[in-house]
Amino acid sequence: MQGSDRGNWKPYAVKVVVLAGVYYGAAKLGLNLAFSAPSVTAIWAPTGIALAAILLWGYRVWPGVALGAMLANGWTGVPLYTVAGITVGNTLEALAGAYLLRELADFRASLERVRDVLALAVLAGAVSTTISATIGVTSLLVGNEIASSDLGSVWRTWWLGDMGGDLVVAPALLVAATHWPYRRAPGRLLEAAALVAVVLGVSALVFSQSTALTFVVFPLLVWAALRFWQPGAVGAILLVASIAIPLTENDLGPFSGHPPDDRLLLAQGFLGIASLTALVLAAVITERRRAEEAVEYVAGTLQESLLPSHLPVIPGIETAVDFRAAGRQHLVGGDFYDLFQRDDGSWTVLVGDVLGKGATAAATTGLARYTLRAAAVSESRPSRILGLLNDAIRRQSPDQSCTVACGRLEVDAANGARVTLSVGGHPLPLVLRADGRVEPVGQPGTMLGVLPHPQLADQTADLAPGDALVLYTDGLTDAYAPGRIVKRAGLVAALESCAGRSATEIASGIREAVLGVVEAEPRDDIVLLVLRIPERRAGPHPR
Amino acid sequence: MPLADLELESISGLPVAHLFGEIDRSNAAELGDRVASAIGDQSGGLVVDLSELAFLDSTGIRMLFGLAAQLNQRHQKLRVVVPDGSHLGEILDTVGLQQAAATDHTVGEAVAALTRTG
Repeated sequence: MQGSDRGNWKPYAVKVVVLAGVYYGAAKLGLNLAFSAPSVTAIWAPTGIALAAILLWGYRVWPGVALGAMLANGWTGVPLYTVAGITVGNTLEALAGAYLLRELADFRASLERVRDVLALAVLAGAVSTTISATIGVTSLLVGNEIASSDLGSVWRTWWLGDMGGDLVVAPALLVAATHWPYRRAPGRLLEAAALVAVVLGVSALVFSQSTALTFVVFPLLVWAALRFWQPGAVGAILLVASIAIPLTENDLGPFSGHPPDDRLLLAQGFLGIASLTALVLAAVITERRRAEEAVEYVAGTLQESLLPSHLPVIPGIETAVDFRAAGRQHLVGGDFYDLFQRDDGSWTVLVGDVLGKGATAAATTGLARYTLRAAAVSESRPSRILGLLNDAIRRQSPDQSCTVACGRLEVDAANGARVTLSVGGHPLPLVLRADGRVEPVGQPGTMLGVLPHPQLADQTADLAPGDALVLYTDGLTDAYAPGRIVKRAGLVAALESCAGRSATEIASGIREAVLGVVEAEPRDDIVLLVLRIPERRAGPHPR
Repeated sequence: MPLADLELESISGLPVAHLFGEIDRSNAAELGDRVASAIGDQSGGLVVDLSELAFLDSTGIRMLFGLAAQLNQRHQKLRVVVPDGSHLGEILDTVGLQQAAATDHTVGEAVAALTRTG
């Protein structure tokens, strides 16, 4: 306990001193800019600084707030008890604001939820600030700094100034602390520079002309929030405020011509509402992005659950599979593959593609995979297995369809393997012979789910040592369609150059040759499944 | 700009639908409906010309099967035009479209085949 106390003492002291210093500096700056009454200004930054510090560092840094407030007001010539009153009011305000946000609103400092922004505006901005305004104004009155007739207007100005601090300065600090480093937003450095220049230029123009053009600022805030999220929103508001406040206080701009109190009120109202708008917009964007990420995650999990977690080991056969899901914007694709053993010792290999995307396609993928597994128990002929799937789809999901290549593999340790293939609307599997020749296997058949009596045939091919069977989905050839389509000839050429290599090397060789090093995400799922009979090792044959 | 475009014309009294651009799941159903509504009860069939089509995905293929089935119910015939040796022709062969609809290499051949039989 003692040890940890000693360990925490230094950083704590540093935080308190830093907070007091920053608070003092901001208060001095604010007091120099103050309008109608001492200690009152358009945006009272120290309120935002105190609230952010207590939210980020905890209640225990409150002495920093008190120290800063005391120093800031200590030498303004007001009586000591007035200084004490203002100090107590400002400290309580920050503590109460942080308490309300934490206890009532489950507040998160990143301001990424609309509720966080609204809670900040209401609980801290509107409610907690009444404490400081009431105690502070009473202290000024007791110290004879203001006349009782001014009580109402000074209270209002104080309250709104503190609210401005909570709406403009606190969000900037909270976002700066929780979003570092700012690398995730879609906007880039050049765009950020342009945004800063335009915001500064337009603000200078708007707040130096007496024509009421303040609405021109809002599209810029939308730009900032859309492209740079929370950091953009708070940054743009700070820039607008840094120009709007001094110009308005010098009786320039759209709010000029009114008495100082009214000018102040207009500037406060404008900045508060502008900040709230930009922050709410940024939060809506974040919430939408979070929702998209959640859907993507669910879609990805769903798809993974429809694929075998690993390929079984087939004695005497090398296997390799390459599965790549379509780009994020396309959600769940419907490609699937499977490899399992029948009771008679033969193996069933499947590569298929359910048409369409999304949850319906995923459901059909599930139907296809489990129907095929079940059908393979009773049926040995691949064309019959596919026929059963055709019936199942037409019965259970009449508006769905899929293409499948289904093979039955009988491994013969001495001679290699024999494969019987049936193809329903699917690209024909290819056999890469040991000498580099490439031949398609199977007869083109009808895709499944569209016709009551699809044309499905079985074709047999023998695989000798060194031969490989390659099954794939059309995502491989159409990955970047229509910009880049690989014709079957291109695929064959790529395959020919892989002769004599292992199944894994063939899979990666095709992938590199066909897909290249394209950065874009593929338009469709890609499945590439390679089964290869290894060459026999040199030496006497066991028989 | 829409992803795909449809132009309808009548050649020798037969409706011919030319499809352009890219057909995917965003527009396949709508295009299918528009093509289907172009067929009168009197005509002997329909020619769907895909020669100028840049991309057709699986939902587009499904749409062609659907059109063929719809026409079949009314004892009409669908003929699909794809250029000789094109990637699209390869795809339509792969999915076995010929079991539902015949394919031709030119619109002229398709129209001739339909007027001969119809």
